[in-house]
Amino acid sequence: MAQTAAPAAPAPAETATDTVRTRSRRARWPAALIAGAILLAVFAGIAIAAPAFGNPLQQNLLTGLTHTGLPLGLSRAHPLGTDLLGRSELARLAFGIRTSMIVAIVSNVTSIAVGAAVGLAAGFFRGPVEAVLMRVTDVGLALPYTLAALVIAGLMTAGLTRVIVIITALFWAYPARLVYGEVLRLRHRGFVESAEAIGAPGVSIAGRHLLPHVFPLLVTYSPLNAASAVVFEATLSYLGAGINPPTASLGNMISDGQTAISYAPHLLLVPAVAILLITMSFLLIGEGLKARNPDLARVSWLGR
Amino acid sequence: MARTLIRRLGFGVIAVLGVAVLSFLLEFVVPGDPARAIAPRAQSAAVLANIRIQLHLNQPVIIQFLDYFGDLFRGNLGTSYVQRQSVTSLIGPRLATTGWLALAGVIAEVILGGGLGILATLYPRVRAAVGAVNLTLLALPQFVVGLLLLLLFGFKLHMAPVTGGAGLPEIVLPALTLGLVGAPWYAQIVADQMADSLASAYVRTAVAKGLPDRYILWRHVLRNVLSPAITMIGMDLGAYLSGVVTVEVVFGWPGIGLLAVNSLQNLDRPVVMGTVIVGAVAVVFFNLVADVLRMYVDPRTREEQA
Amino acid sequence: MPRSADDGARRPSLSPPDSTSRRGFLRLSGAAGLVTLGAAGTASSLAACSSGSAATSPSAPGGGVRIKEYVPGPQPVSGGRYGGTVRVVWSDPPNSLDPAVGYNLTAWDAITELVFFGGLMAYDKQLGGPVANIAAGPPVISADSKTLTFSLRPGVKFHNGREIVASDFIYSWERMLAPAMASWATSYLTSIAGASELIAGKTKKLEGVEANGDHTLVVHLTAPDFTILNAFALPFTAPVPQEEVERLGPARFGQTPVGFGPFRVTSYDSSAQTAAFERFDDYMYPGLPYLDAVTYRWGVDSNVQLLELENGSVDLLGPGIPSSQAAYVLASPTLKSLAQQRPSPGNLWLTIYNLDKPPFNSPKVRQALNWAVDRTALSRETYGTYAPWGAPFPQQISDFHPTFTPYGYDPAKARQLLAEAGYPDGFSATLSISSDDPFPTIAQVVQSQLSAIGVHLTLNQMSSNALYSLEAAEQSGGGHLQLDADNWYEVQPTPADEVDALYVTGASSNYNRYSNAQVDSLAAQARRTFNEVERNQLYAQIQQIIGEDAPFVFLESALWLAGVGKRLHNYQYRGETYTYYDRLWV
Repeated sequence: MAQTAAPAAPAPAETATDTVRTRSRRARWPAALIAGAILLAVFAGIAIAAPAFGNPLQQNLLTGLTHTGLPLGLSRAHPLGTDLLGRSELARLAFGIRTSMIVAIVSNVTSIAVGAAVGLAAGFFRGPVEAVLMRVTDVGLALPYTLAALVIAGLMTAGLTRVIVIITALFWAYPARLVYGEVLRLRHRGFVESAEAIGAPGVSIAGRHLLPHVFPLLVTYSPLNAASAVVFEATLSYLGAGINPPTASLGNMISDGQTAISYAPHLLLVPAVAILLITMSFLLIGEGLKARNPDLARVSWLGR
Repeated sequence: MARTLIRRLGFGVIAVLGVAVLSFLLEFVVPGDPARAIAPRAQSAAVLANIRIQLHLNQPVIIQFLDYFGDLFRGNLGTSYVQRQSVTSLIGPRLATTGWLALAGVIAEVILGGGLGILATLYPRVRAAVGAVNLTLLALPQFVVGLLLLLLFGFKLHMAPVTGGAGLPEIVLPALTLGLVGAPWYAQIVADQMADSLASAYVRTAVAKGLPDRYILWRHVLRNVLSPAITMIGMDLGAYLSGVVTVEVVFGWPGIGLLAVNSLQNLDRPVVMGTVIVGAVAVVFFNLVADVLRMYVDPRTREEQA
Repeated sequence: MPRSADDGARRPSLSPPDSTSRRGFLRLSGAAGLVTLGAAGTASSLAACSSGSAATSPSAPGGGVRIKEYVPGPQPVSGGRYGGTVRVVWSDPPNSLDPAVGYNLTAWDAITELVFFGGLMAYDKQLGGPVANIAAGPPVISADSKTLTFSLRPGVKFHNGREIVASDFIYSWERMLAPAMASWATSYLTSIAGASELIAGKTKKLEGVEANGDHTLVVHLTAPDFTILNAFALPFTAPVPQEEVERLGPARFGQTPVGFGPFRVTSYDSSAQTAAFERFDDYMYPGLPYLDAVTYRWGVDSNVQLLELENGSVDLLGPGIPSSQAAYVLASPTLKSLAQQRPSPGNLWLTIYNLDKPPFNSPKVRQALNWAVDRTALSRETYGTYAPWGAPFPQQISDFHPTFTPYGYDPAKARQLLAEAGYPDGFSATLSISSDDPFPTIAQVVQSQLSAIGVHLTLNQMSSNALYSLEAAEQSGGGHLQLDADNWYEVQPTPADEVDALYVTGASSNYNRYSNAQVDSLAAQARRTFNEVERNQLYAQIQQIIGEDAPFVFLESALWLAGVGKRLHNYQYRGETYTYYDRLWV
C-alpha cells in the first residue's frame, strides 16, 4: 500500500542475490526508513517534551470558551484552539501523543506477539494443538468485544495497563488467523519438510524458517493495528473502560471531537491528523525494513 | 475434503458453544444488577426482589446456566427482560437486515480496497496518493466517515435518503461507509501480495515465455491475492454480523447492532446472549466458508486442516 | 478485531438523555419511606384544583378553531388547525408500551400522552399537581383522610369503543401489582390497603379498592398519603381493557396496547423501528386532538436527529436537543429557532458518602465543598440543559416556596470552613462517575475548582451499571465510595418525590445512608397532609435542614431543551409527562 519505497528498490544493477553488505548505502538505508524514523522521532520528541506545550489540565471556563460555552478556534493565544473545557488543545495534543504512543506501541506489540505465537503454533504443530488453538481463535474473534471490555474493566483498576490488556485481549485473534493461513502456505512450499528432513529441531524451524517469512505480513499489518488501537481507545472511553479523564489521550480526544463535530471540527481534526501521521511513520518504517532486506526485495517482473 | 468439512463443522459447533458459555459466565462478572437495570433506580428492595424472582435471577448461577442452555438446545432463546418479547422475535427480522448490510459492506471494501491496492502496485506514480488516501481513511473513526457521507450526500446534495429504512437506496451510504473504513486493510494486503507474486520466479518465467501481462495477472497473481483476502472477508462478515452499531445508528439502518448495544447496557442478558450466539455462529460459519473457498482457490492450503 | 468490528457504540449520543441519565427520570419515591399510622390529617379537598369542563364544540375542521375546554396540562389551548402528521424521532426503542411496565423515554412519551392520558387524575398546567381526569372531580376524602371516593366521568371510552368503568381500574391495578408482571412501579401504590399483600403474592385481589356501580370508585388507604393522587396521574395506574389484554396477549399488548388517550396505536414494527398512532375520534376531551397522526421512528443517532430536524425530515426530537449540542444550537442563528426551553423537574449533584467517617463526618467540610463550586462557570459546560442551583430539590416545583438560600461561590468561606473543621490544607478524595454525559465534563470542572481550596479529587470513571452496583453496596454498609455524581428527574410535582426517595432514613435511593430524625418526622407528616400549602411549608423546613446538613454538593437544576420543527404550533411540554400531542397542530 504505502509503497513509497520506490527509491528503495534495488538499482537495476543489483539482484536479489546480493547480500546486504554488497548493496549500496542507499539501499541499506532506504528513504522510507529514514523518513519514517524521523517522523517517529518527532512524535517521540513531542511526547517527551509534552510539558513544554502547555498545561493540558488547565481549564479556562471563562476565557477559553465563547460566551455560550463553545470551544474557541485557532488563535495566537491558543494555536490549536481550545477544547470543550477551555483547555489548550495544543497541550492536550502533546500529552495525548504521549499517552497514545505508549498504548499504540505496547498493545500493538503484545497483540501481534500473542496472535503470531498462536498462529505459528497452530500452523506448525498441526494435529490436536492446531484444533484447540484455532477454536480458541474463533472464540476470540466471536466474543463480543464490549462484553469482554466491560468485564476486564470491572476486574482491573483504571489506568494504562488496563487499556493495554483490553486491547491485547480483543485484537490478538486477527493476526493469529492471518499468520496461521500464511504458515499453511509456507508449509506447502516445503520449508518445513526440508528443515525437518535435515533434522532441525521443531522450535528452531518455526523460529528460523517460518518467522522470517511471516515477518513481512506482520510488518504490513502492524501499523494498521496500532492505529486501530488508538482509535479503539475512544470506544473504551465510552464504555468507561478507557483512560480516565482528565488525562488526555488521542482516543478520548477523538470521542470529544465527535460530539463537537458541527461546531468545533478542529477538536476532531487535531487528533485524527496526529494518528494519521504517527501511523504513517510506522508504515514508512515498515516499508523501509522490508526494502532493506534483500530476501524481501520485490521487483516486479512486469517491469513497472 | 468432505471429511475435513464435517470435522470443521463439528469444531465450529464447539467454538460456538465455547463462546456461548464464556459469554454467559462473563455476564455474571460484568458489574451491574439486571433487576436494577430494568427497573429504574430507587426501587424499594421488595420490588427489586420480586423482579429478580420473576427473572430467575435469585437462583444460583449453575441453575441459571442449566436452565439457559437447556432452553437453548430446545431452540428457545428466552425472553427479553426489558422488552418482554421473545428474543427470537427481536433478533430474527433484524438479522437479515444486518446480513444485507454486511454483504454490501464487504463488497464495497473489497472493491475499494482491492482497487486501491491494485492501482498502487501497477501504477507507481499514484502510489503516494493512494497511500495518503489509505492513511486518512484509517485515522478516521467509522462514525465520522458515516456522518460526513450522510451530510454530504444526504443533506447537502439530496442524493441519498436520510430517514432510515432498509431498502436498496438506503443501503448505499452505510455500505459505502463500511467500505471506506475497511478499504485500507484490503489495499495493504492486496498490494503486498501482488508485489510479492509479481517478483516471484513463476511470474519471471511467464514473462520470459512471452505471456501477456493480463493473463499473468489474472491466472497467477490474483490467486495469490485471493488467499489472504478471503481470510479477511470471512472475518469481516462474521464481525459485521455481530453488529455494526455505529453505521446502523448514523443511517437509521434497522439491524441488530443497536439491539446488541442496548441490551448490554441494560444488562438484558437473554438478548445479549442471543446476539452473541448469532454473532458466534456467523463468525464460525463465515470463517469456515472462507477456509473452504481458500482451499479451492489456492490449492497450496488444501492439505488437511483442523 | 481492529477495524471491521464496529469502532464504538455511540454511547454519548445514544444514551443521554435517553436511556441512562434521563432514565434517572424515573426515580420513584419508594414507599420504603415512612408512612406512619395514626394521627389524622385534616379532611380537606385538594387545594388548587380546578375542574370546570365547560366544553365548546369546535367548528368544522380547517378553520382557525378556538377550543375553550379545560384539559389538564400546560395552558392555554386555542386557535388550532386540524389535520396533519407529526414525525418524532428517538434514539432507543420503547421498552414496552404496556403502561404497567413502560418506563424509558420513548415508552413514557407514548403512554402518557398518546395511547393513554393520565388516569383517574392528570397533572394540572405547567407545574401544578393532580386534577381530575377520568374522575369527574376531586375525590371526596374522608375525615381520617384514609378513604377516597372518586366519581367517574360517564362516557369516557377505550379505543375499542367501550366505556371505562370503575371495575376497569381494579382490574388494571391488580394486573400491575401482580408479582408476575414484575412492574417497576408497584411501590407507588403500597399505601392502598391490600396492595402489599398482593405485591407479595399472598392475595390475588386488591382488597382496599371497591367499585360501587360503574361510576364510583372507593379507595381505602392504610394511612393518609397525598402521593396516591400523583400515582393516579401516572400511566401505571391507567385503566386497561381486560378483554383486549386477554385478546392480544402480553407480548402484543406491549406493542399495540389499547388505551383511551388521544391517539390509537395503529402499527408497531420492531424490525423497521417505527410505530404509528392515529387520531382517536372519541377522545374524552372533545375537539382534541388536532393532528391526524403521530409517527415514531427510533434507532437514530442524536447528531443525525438534529440534522434531520434542521432538514425538515422530522418534526420533533423525542429526547430533545442533546446536551452536547445545546450550546451550539442556542448560539446558532439558524438553529436556535428550533430550540424551545421548558422547565424540567430535575437536578444534579455530587453525593457524599461515608458520612460517619472523616473527613465527611463534619458538616463544615460538606458545606465547604458546596461553597467551593462555581456553579455559574460549571453551567457554561451544560449550557441550555442545566442551570446553576445550589440547593436541594429542583428549582421549580409547584407552589413550593423555598426558605433555604442556595449556596453560592465563595472559596474564601470554603477555605475558612475547612480550616475550622481541622483541614487547613485540604484533603484528597475520589470522585466516581459514570461515563454518560454530562458527568465526565462536570466531574472535571468540579475537580479543577475544588483543587483551588486544597481538596484534590481523583476521578474514577466507569460504566453506569458498575456505578449503580457500588451505590447499592454503599446502601448496605459495605462500600468505599467517597463522592459520586448523580441526577434525578421527578415524576411527581412535589418535593416528596425526592425527599421520600433520597433523604428519608432507609429510603430506596438513599445511598449514602443520610439520616436525620427531624427530616424523617417532617417528611412523614407532610406525606399525610393533603393540603398543598401546608404540605409545602413542611417541605420548605425539610429543605432548610437538608441544605444545612449538606449530604450532597448541590450543583444544578435541569432544563428541557426541546427540538421543535418549524411546522409545529402550540408545542406544550411537561417534565413529568412530556409532549402534549393532543394540543399540537401543524
